[in-house]
Formats: sequence, structure tokens, C-alpha cells
Amino acid sequence: MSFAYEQEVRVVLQETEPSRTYTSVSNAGVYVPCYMDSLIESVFVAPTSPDFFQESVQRVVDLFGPSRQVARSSLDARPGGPMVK
Amino acid sequence: MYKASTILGDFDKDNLKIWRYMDLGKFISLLMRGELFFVRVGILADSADLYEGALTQLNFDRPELAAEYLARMLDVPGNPPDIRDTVGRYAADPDRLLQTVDMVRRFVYVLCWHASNYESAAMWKVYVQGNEGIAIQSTVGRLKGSLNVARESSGYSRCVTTIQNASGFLWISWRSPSGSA
Repeated sequence: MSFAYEQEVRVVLQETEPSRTYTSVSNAGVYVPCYMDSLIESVFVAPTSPDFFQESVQRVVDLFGPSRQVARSSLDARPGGPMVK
Repeated sequence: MYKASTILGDFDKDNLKIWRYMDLGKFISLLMRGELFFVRVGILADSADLYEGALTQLNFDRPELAAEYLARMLDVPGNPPDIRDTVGRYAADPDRLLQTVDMVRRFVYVLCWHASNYESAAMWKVYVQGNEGIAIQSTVGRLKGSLNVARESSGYSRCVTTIQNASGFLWISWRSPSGSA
């Protein structure tokens, strides 16, 4: 299933004058405030990424993010071996 | 196939898992800013973005859908109350329809998520160079709750939910390869 074609969910925002509502507006787009603790359920690092990368991302999450354990990609799990999660 | 948008609060797939894949820089920026970046649709005009493709396809093949799309965009306070009827008639005038779509697109911003119960090997490849990438997994319900700036409106178009001021609104659209979502 990990290789299945992706479906997509889009959030569409229409604003004629975004600078009235949002502080970070450019020609390229708009930054919309978002509660990270509400948004993020899980954080994964890419398949085959080195251990130090997972540790570094965990440190970044500890510093700036909601309280979450950074998990290895489940694609790293070996058939027959223990699930890496 | 593009499916009609729904009110954000009425999008009933709260448990649907959604994913975003990114590099470390973007991840740090996301956490530090506490903001999600919505790309302006007009900016995507030169790319092969799916959203742009869908809209163009809509314009040429299904003018009545494009007209409906336009009507939703324009049905906001300040516009004439009969704007839906007016725009509905544009379906018979493709040139005018296209011009108006181009005009309206400048005020539209999108944020795309990949919906899947599982991680995607393909998405890792598309969005992450090398192997030092990060995926955050959320759900539609979580996304709704996190963008807690939205509030329901009752006075105008059913497809919209206002955000903070009268000119802005937000909705979620759902796209699937089969068109049966």
C-alpha cells in the first residue's frame, strides 16, 4: 500500500486582501497560523536515513515542537524482522 | 476528477490520515513559525501542479463546473447577491469564463496534503532529496482543529467558511484518482 497512487486533500483559502488578516504575505503565498500540537500526530524520518539524523530531528522537535517521539520510516522495517516504529 | 468542494466543517473525513513530506529546513521553519504556507495558485501557473491542471481541464471540458467554481469564489460579502446567477451564465461564454477565472485565481491559495493510511515510498522520493527527509502525519480532523482561525458563516454561500474577516474563506476539496471519493 505504501506504493499506491496518492490521493490528495487540499485546503483552499481565498483572500482578496490577505495582508489585512495575515502578517506574512508575499507574492508567492500566505503563512497561516496553525497550532502544531493540534496538527501533528506523528513525525517520521525518511527510509535509510542515518541514526544521527533521527536524533537531530528529535532534538529539533524537543526544542521547537509539540511533544512527539520521532519514528523511523516504517518502510525500513525488514520482512520477518521486528517492526521499526 | 475534481470533486465539488465542501464546507470545511462539513468535510466528514475527520479520521482520514494525511501526510506532508519535507526536508529538514522546511520542517524547522514550520515548527519555529507555527504557520502553514499556502501557495498562491497564480504562482503555480507555469508548473505541472495538479491543481492548475484540474482547473484548466475544468475550464475547457466542463464550463458549467468552472462556472460553479467561480460562483463559489465570488459569492462573498460585497459582491452582488445575484453573483451566482451572473456567473452561471458565463458557462455559455468560455472566453469570459476564462478571463474571470484568471482574475479570481489571483486571490486563491492552496495547501496540499497527501491522503493515505500508510507512508508512501513515492512521496519520499518526490519531496525529499537524498534520505534526510521528514514526514509529518496528521488527520483531516487535526488539520481542521489546528487552523482554528476559521468560523462558520451563515449568511452566504454554503461552500464557504469565513476566516477572521469577511473577504476570506476556507474550504477543503477532495481529489482522488478514481473520481469516486
